[in-house]
Amino acid sequence: MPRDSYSEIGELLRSHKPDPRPGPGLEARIMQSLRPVEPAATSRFWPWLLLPPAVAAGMVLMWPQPAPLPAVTQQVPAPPVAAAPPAVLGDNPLERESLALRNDARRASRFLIDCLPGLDTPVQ
Amino acid sequence: MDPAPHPEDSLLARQAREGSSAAFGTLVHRYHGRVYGFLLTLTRHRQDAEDLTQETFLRAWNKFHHFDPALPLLPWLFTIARRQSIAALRKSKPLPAQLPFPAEPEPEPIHPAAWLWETAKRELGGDAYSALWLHYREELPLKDVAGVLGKREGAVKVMLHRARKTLAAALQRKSPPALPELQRTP
Repeated sequence: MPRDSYSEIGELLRSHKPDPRPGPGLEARIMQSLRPVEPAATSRFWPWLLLPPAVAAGMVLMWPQPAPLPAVTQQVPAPPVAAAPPAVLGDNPLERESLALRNDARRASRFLIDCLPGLDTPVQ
Repeated sequence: MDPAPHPEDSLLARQAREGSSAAFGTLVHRYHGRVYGFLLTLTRHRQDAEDLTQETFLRAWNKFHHFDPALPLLPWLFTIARRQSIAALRKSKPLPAQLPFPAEPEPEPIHPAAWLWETAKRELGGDAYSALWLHYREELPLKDVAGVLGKREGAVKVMLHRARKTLAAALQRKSPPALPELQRTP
């Protein structure tokens, strides 16, 4: 800076610089005010790690249970099947036996079908 | 308080930028007094200056990633400090344009330079006193003073010239006997 007619003022100001001192606790106060910022930076990581599983677990626990299926207490009787025409039994024992087996098979299949709730199509 | 920047400031600033609170603590220890002194020229109130010093360093810690460690640290801190003081003034009640310093019960300073600093504090405007402080107390170059105060370098030069002129006139009025060489100043 070029010297002007008041440059002695500058030299005089430099010759004795004021030294205002802050209170003794200011430095500690500054460092204390920084501390809450530091853990906040690290703790921001944990919520991202822990919150999603916690929310998922909460949803699973709080999810309404599906309504229980009504217990079958009464079987709707199947419509009466038209009775087969009485077979004319011949004298042949093989024929009688075969008819008896067919009747047994029909009864058994009818019984099994009746045991299945809601499935009322006849077994072919 | 040594006005020269420490050689390891750059290294500490780098470490603080990477999140080292120990490095930042060293910088706080080194510079909090000088930031406080500058804020005292702006606020003219000890408690406010202390509060703003705390806010300045907190802000610096949060914004350290914006700081270029190759640059000197102190002008950056002073710039933050000035912005913090302006923000604080805006938040508070409107104050008179010329803030008078509270009358301190300190005795009249004996050293003529101390008297001159006291006179500058009383008689100069806020910006002029801050510029005087930054240039003569903190030994910042005009470019840095202009950067801190948000003014052009030429404006700061004019401001400092006027401040010296005002102080010279005050000295002439006082005519302290301890300053015979200053009485010869035209």
